Amino acid sequence: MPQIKLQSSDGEVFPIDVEIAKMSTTLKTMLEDLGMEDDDDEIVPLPNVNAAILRKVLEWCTAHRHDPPIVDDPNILDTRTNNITCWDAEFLKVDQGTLFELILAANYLDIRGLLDVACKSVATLISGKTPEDIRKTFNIKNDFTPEEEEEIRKENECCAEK
Amino acid sequence: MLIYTVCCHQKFLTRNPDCREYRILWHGTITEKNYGLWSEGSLHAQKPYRYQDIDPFGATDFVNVKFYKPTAANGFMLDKSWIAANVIVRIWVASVNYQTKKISGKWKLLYLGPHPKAPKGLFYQFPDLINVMRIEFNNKLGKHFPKLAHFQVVTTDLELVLTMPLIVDIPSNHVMYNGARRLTYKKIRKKKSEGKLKKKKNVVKTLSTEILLKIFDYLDLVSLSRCAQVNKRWNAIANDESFYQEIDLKMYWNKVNSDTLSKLKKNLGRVKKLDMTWCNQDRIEFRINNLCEDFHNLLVSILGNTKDTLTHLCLDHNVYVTIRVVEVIASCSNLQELRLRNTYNWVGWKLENLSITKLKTLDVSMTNVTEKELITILKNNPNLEHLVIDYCRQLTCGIILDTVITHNPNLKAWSSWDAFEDQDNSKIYARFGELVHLEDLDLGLCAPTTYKIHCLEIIVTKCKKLKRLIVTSWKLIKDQEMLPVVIEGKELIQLNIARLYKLTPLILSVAVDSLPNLRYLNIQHCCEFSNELVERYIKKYPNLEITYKADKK
Repeated sequence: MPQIKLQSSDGEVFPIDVEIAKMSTTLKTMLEDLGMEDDDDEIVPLPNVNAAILRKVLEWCTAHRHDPPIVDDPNILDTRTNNITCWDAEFLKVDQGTLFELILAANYLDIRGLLDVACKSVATLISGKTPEDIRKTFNIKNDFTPEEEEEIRKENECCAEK
Repeated sequence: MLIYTVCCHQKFLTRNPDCREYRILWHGTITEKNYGLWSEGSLHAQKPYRYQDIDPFGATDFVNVKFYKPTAANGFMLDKSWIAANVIVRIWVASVNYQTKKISGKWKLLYLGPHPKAPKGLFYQFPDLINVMRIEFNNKLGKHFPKLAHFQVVTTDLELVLTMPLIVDIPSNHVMYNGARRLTYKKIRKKKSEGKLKKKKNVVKTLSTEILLKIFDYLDLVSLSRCAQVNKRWNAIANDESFYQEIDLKMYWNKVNSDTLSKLKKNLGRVKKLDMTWCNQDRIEFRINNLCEDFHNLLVSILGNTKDTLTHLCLDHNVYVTIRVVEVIASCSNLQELRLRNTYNWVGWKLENLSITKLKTLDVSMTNVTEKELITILKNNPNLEHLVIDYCRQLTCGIILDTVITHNPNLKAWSSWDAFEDQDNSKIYARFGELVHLEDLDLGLCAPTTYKIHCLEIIVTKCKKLKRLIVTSWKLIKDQEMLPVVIEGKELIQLNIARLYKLTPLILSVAVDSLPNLRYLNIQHCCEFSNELVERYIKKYPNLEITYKADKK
C-alpha cells in the first residue's frame, strides 16, 4: 500500500496510506494534480492543522475508510436525518474547542463525512436551548441593545412558544 | 370503574385490514386518517419537505378520539405491548365546546411515548374535563400491531388514579441529553485547564459563515428562531433564505395559529415547499362554517404571495382548504406536488383559472373532487406521475383511467384504495396495461364483480416495471387468475393479496420461490394457508416479510 507523509503545523509527521489521505478531497486533488503518488519521500505540510487534531482526523478517516461516498441527491434525505452513529458519538465526545477545530480541519481538508457529523454534533448542542443558554454554551456576547433584543424576541417567539 | 374500549368499527374491520377508522363503543367516535404502513414505501408517499425538522418520536399519523360530552375520564390504559413497541408516540387532550366547535384552551400533552422521562406504568392522569383526545402514533414501529384495538380509556374515581407528573413541552431531541452530559464533562475540563478556557472564548468566531450555515441547516424551526436571538451575526445567518425554502409545520400543528402565521409570513414569502398538514389549531370539526377568519385570510395571502415560487404544497387534513384557498392554489403555476388528502371542505376548482400545468404528484384522496374537475387537472398536467384518489367514491374508474391513458401516459403510481367498490370493472382494469410505466398499483377494495377478462394477467404482462400491487379483498380471485401474477411479476417488491379467500397454498409457494425481488407479502385472512406453512417460508426466506394472521372466521 503506497503511503504519503503529512506534516502538522507543529512539525509532527504522520505517514498514512494514500487510500486514507484521499478521503480528503483537498489532498486527493493535490495528489492527483501534482502527480505525487509515486513519490514516497515527499512531505505534505498542513499549516492549518495541529498534531492533536490531525491525529483525530486520521483516526476518523481510518475508521470510515470503507464508507460509500456521499452523494447529493435531493431524494435521499435519510442520511442527513439519521442520528449520529455510536462510533461517531463516542469519537466526538471532546471539548468544544476540539470539536470546532475538527470542523475547521475537516473543512480545510474537505472531508465531507467528518464535516457533516461534526456540524450535526454542534447542532445538537444548540437544539433545545434558549438564546441565553446558547450564549453561555458558546461564550457568545450579546451585542443587541435591550430594545433590539425585545423586538427580535417578539419577532421570533412564534415558533418558540413555551 | 368505567372502561371505554377503543375498537374497530365492525364494518371497517371486515373490509379493511389496515383499519382506517375506529370508534369508541357507546361513548364517542374515533376517526383515523391513516397513510398506513403500506404506503410508506410507495412512489407517491410524501418525502418530508424540511428534513431538519427532526421529530425524535416520528409520529406518522393520529386518531382523534371524540367524546360526545365533556368526560371526566381521568386515566387511560395502554396495552403494554403498545408501549413497549413505542407505537403510541404522543397523546394530547383538549376540551371542545360543541356548540362553537372550538377547542377551549390549548391542547395539552398528556403522554410521551418513548421519552426517557415519560412516566412508567399504565395509568396517567388527565388534567381536566376533556372531550377530545388525539393519539399520535407511528405505524412503522407498530407493524406487528396493525390495529389500534388495545387502547382503552379508563375512568375511575380520582383517588384511584396514580398521580403522574405532566410533561408540558416536547423535548427537542434525545441527543440533547447526550449534549447535556458533554457539557458537564466540558465544565470539569474548564476548571482543570485555564488555558483551554481562553481558547474557547473566541472559538465560535473562528467559524466561517459558511460553516455556521451548515450547522444551522441541521436545526429545526424553533431552534433556528432561538439562534436568531443570540447576537447580530447569528441573527443574520439564521434568517438566511436557504432555511425558509422548505417548511414543514406538521410537527408544530398544535402551535400554529394565526399569530404564528402572521409572524412567519415574512419568511414564508420565499417558501418553495410548504407542508401544513394537521394545522387546524382552533378546530377539530370538519365543517365549513367555523373557520378562524384571520388564519384563513393569512393562508390565502401567504399562498398568494408565493404562487410563482411554490413547487410543493401539502395541506393534508387541513380544514382551511376552502373555495378561496383552492382558488389561490389553482393559480400556483409552478406546483409539482399537490396534496389535499382528507379536505372535504372545498367546494370546487375555478377551472377557467387553472394555471397548474407541471404537476407530478396529485393526492386528492378523501376529498369530494368531481370527475369534471379531476379530468381538467389531468388534461392540464401531461407529466403527472403519481395519482392518489383513495376513497373517492364519486369517481368512475373507466372515465378517469381513459383520461390518464390519453393525457398522462407517464403515470408511475396509481392508488385508488376503496374508490370503486363492487363494479363490473374487469374490462376497464385490463386497460391499466396501457400504462406501461406503472410501478405502483393500488386497487385494494376495488374488486370487480366478475372476471370476464383476466385483467391481472394483462396488467402484469404489460406493465413490466410493476413493483407494488395491492388487490386486497378481490375475493373472487382464484389460483388460475393469480398464478400469472406470481409468475410474470418479476419486478414485484410488495404484493398484497390479503382477503383473497379462495387462494390455495400453491400461490404462496410459487410467489416466494419465483419472485426474486419480493420483500413484502401480505396474505392476511387467506384461510387456506396454514400457519406452519407460512412460518416455514419465513424461515426459508429471511429477507421476505410476510404479514399473515390465522383468522378462520
